[in-house]
Amino acid sequence: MKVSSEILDVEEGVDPQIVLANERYSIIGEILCDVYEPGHAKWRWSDSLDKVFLNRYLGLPIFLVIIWSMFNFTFQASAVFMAIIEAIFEWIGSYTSQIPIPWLASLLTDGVIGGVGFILVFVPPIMFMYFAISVLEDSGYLTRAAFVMDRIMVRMGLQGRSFIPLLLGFGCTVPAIMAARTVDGESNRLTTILVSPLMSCAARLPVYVLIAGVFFPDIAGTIVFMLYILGIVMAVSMALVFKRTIFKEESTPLLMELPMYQVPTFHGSIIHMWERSSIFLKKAGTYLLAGAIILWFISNTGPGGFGVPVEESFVSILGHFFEPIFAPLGFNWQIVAALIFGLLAKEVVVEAIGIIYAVQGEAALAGALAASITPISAIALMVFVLLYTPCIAVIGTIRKETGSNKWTVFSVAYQIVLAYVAALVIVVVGGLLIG
Amino acid sequence: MKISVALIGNPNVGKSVIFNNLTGLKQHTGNWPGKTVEMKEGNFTYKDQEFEIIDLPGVYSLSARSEDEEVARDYLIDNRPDVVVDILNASQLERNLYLALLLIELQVNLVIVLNMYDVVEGRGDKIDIERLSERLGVPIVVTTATKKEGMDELKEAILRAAPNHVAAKLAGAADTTEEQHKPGEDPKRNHLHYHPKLHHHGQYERLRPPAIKYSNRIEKRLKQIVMILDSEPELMERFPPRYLALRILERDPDILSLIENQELKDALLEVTL
Repeated sequence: MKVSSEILDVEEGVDPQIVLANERYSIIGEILCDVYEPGHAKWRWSDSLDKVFLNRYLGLPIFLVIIWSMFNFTFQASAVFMAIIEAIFEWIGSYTSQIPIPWLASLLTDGVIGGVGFILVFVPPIMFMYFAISVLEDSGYLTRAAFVMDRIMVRMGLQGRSFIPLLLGFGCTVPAIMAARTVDGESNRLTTILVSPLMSCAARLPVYVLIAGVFFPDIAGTIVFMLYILGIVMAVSMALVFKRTIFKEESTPLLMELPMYQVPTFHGSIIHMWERSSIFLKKAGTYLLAGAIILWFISNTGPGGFGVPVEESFVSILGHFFEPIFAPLGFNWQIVAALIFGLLAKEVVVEAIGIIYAVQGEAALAGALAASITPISAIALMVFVLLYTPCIAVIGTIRKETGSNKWTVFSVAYQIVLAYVAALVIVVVGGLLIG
Repeated sequence: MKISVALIGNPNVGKSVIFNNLTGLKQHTGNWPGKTVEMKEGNFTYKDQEFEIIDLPGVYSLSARSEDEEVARDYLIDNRPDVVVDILNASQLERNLYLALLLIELQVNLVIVLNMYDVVEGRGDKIDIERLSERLGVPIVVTTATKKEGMDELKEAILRAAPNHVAAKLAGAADTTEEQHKPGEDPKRNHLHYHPKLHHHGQYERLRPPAIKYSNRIEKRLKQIVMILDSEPELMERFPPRYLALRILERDPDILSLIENQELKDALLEVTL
């Protein structure tokens, strides 16, 4: 950086801080010329990789291709394992359904296996996705992805630093919201908190895998990729909307450390994958198990008492009550009920669908689902799940981090409205395209 | 009496690893008063001398734009640690030296650590350490903290860098000035200040002449500012004069707000680049 002398010659109107910064860098440059003799190894290699990955025009397409490959890998690699786990639970189910006590047989078969067992089928894709993310992280690419996004966001007048918390949102929204503390400026921080839930977290993956697998088995990876991209696009656009309307504050440039590219170690990636997946497994063994039992119970209980058909249960009453609101989207009462329970956690959506259909006596869930909603409604359903309030833990975290009930309510409300509107747009536009 | 040491450096340079290597288990973590920034303190002994060491937040500069920078800058100015250790990522010298230059402006007793030196060697780069040390006027230690290489050399350098008056006090002179405060302990005095009377050495610290000089044009302005400030001994006592002049030249709002005399302020603002 040998700019100082020229800049100093410019008279008035120059920011003295920049003049001094330039002066310091020119001294540093001069000292380095004196004492530093570059070698010729890894960084050269790393730098030339950056020339491609961080290229102004290629950076974004490369990012998209890498993420797309990641989801396709996730699907193709996990399919076989999912089939195995499914077969195992089917096998266990064939025994539990033989238990002579009917209510216990139903609890174990429809509730525990239909709910928790059904969720566990989605452990392989979650594990493979975490594995892929760990590889990207350890190789040093993920930081570059943040850098590429930062450039785009800053050009749109957004705080680039926000993208790092948002990237965390791919794993789980709760740490993403907490990481918003690193964002400069109160309004930038609030914006980040408000849009973080729109990034698709791992808990939403089972819903996509289930629905995309049933309706679009050949292009499931691409569908999930597009949902993730939609999440990013929505987060950025909503940030822009908030910026223009509610908050108005300047952005400061992002100074980011780009680590050297490294070949990720298999061992390291496995450890990362296991750490994150075990959290999911723990959740499945505790909250989701409890949820499954409760869901099973209220699917079997209605005003008429225990053991009523599912159509007369509390779940059905709840689903039917809200069904008219979702009628334009083409969701049936079973899905509406699952979405309502999904406010607790996104895994519950899949769990609830599994239990309700199981109690209903549908053996093949895939066929039952395919018969009950149209493919366009299925896309709308995935988009709705992507955009509406992720889970109760996120609501709690937002309350804690903003310290404001007003912002918490606003966050929940705007996401539900956004999810509904986006799903409606898909149904209407999709209907026009096909019809 | 302990020698007080502050660790500073850019984020991700291995500062925490060095802190842990130096202190081992003798450390505790708290928060800076009124801040969400984490504060780690620890102790170590070297050659029968006790050191108390504080790990400042990782920062790229000292402009006080973020809470981290504010904490680091206020600590260095208010507490004037005996030795400041600036940890650099040796493989990223150009950017890391920026903070070093800012610390040289502050005229602290600086020791520079070139950490991650294994990366430099692996890459086949060559750094003329002696020449760099000479140019900066600062002792330099080479370390690879992850392999615990260079830790004894670092302790030795810290001991040597401790100012003479501290060494004299260690020799047995009684410490009479107990009246001292740290930022945040007294809310009325929770501001930027450099007041030798409150300073825990109880005397004016002799500042070392800076090894790095800027262009004549800037140096001339700095002299002008110092001359104007000469009539205001109170401000001159608060901050190292060269640092004060640089901040005024940069129009630092924190420093400018400390100048109450409007005439003086106008005179200072007339000095422009």
